[in-house]
Amino acid sequence: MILNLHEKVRVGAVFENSPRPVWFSLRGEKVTVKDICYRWKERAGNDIVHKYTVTDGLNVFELSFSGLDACWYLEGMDEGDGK
Amino acid sequence: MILCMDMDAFFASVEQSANPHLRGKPIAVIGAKERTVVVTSSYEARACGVKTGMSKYEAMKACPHVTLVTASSGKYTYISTEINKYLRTITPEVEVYSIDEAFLDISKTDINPVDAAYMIKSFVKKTFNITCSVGVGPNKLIAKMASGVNKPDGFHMVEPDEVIDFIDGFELGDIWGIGRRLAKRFRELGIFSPKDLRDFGQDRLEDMFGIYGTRLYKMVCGQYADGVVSEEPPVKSIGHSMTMPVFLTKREEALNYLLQLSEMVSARARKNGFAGKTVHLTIRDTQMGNIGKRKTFGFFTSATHHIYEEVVSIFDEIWDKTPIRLLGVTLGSLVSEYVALTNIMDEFQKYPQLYDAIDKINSKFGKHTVSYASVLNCKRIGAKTISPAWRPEGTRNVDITSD
Repeated sequence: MILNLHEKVRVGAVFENSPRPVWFSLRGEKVTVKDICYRWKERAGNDIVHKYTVTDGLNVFELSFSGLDACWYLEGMDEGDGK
Repeated sequence: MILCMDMDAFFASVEQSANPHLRGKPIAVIGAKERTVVVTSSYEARACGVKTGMSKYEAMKACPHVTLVTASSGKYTYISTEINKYLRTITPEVEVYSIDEAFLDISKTDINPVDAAYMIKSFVKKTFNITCSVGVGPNKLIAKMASGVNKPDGFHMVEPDEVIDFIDGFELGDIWGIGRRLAKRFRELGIFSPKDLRDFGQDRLEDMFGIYGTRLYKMVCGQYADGVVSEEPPVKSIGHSMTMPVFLTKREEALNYLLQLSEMVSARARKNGFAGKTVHLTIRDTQMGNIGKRKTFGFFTSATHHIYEEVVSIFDEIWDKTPIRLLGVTLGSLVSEYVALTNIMDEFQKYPQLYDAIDKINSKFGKHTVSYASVLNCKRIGAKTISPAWRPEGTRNVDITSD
């Protein structure tokens, strides 16, 4: 089931050519990013928002990073079939 | 030679690639959360009978275990833009035909068509983990039809001397640009195949269809005069339409959407330096019937308040209180490099400064950051669906708002 969240989250990231999320906090727990499934960029005015779908090996999460306010957001999560 | 690159089930493939939970499963991409239709579906869903254009309820009936995914238009426009940037590294002669299709003329390059197709397919797979099919032919018609031969992840090349045999392998209705309705008309005349149409003769086709008859005859001979158009053709009109999240029955509700659409049209005219002299309003009812009317201004304008005023007067003239499914506003008879935001009839003379301030704020913080208060009453704000006319750049480039 896909949940839309848009919650500000703490993220540990490596800033190379573009930011690469390594872990993020979810309800007080640290979730390690096992794989970045997809990445793309969207423009919002002057802001370039970096977007990612990532997985911890179980669930799929959508993260975004706003270049303008330097904040990370958990946009949504997919717990798959709930198993 | 001409190449046609056609993405395979583009939106659905992107969603499957972005979300491992969706891979290998039947999924249907729908336009928005509210009442909507299937925009595209994965090959797994197609195998279960899900088709583009079905309502989400029809799709779930055809395939009860289908997963409905709301379109993430920003993702698709980004990928399309990046792919088109790559195509232009192969040749500047690229015609973006739609968000998931492009033609390339590689005649003036040293790259052979097989290598070019391999480069494109590799780039798309490696960068976005999705596939495309590439057709190659001596013209756009043959390339386009060749791209559909070995889908998905296909490649097919037609040499100039194979064109007639290639085109004869298709039914008339499957030839790009002929379509099923025209094919039905030909069937009634005893014409079933491209060869039948050639035998029917160019003269008789010209008698029936005029210049289009010549074009039809050449098409079934595998000839196509239109080349790859890499420059954006001149814009004739600027329009936006919106399917309502719920049917509108009250004038006040409709006016909120008309104001929003007028502002969207005006904002794009202002941004791209156009002014128009006519405005057209389209109203679609719940039975998919359309009514519309055009009015001519006594002056050229790019301004929301002028467009809205005229649109409301048309609306009051033609709306018969039937529930509204869709509204569309189009500014036509355009002149370029001219933005007109006020005239001597306006009581308030500071409209140019007002629009300038709105545009500066929205350009910095994103579309609809500043808008008219009554637009906030609309349940849907901004373009949600990708128009067939969408292009990665120029006047036809419209920012799509994700849900």
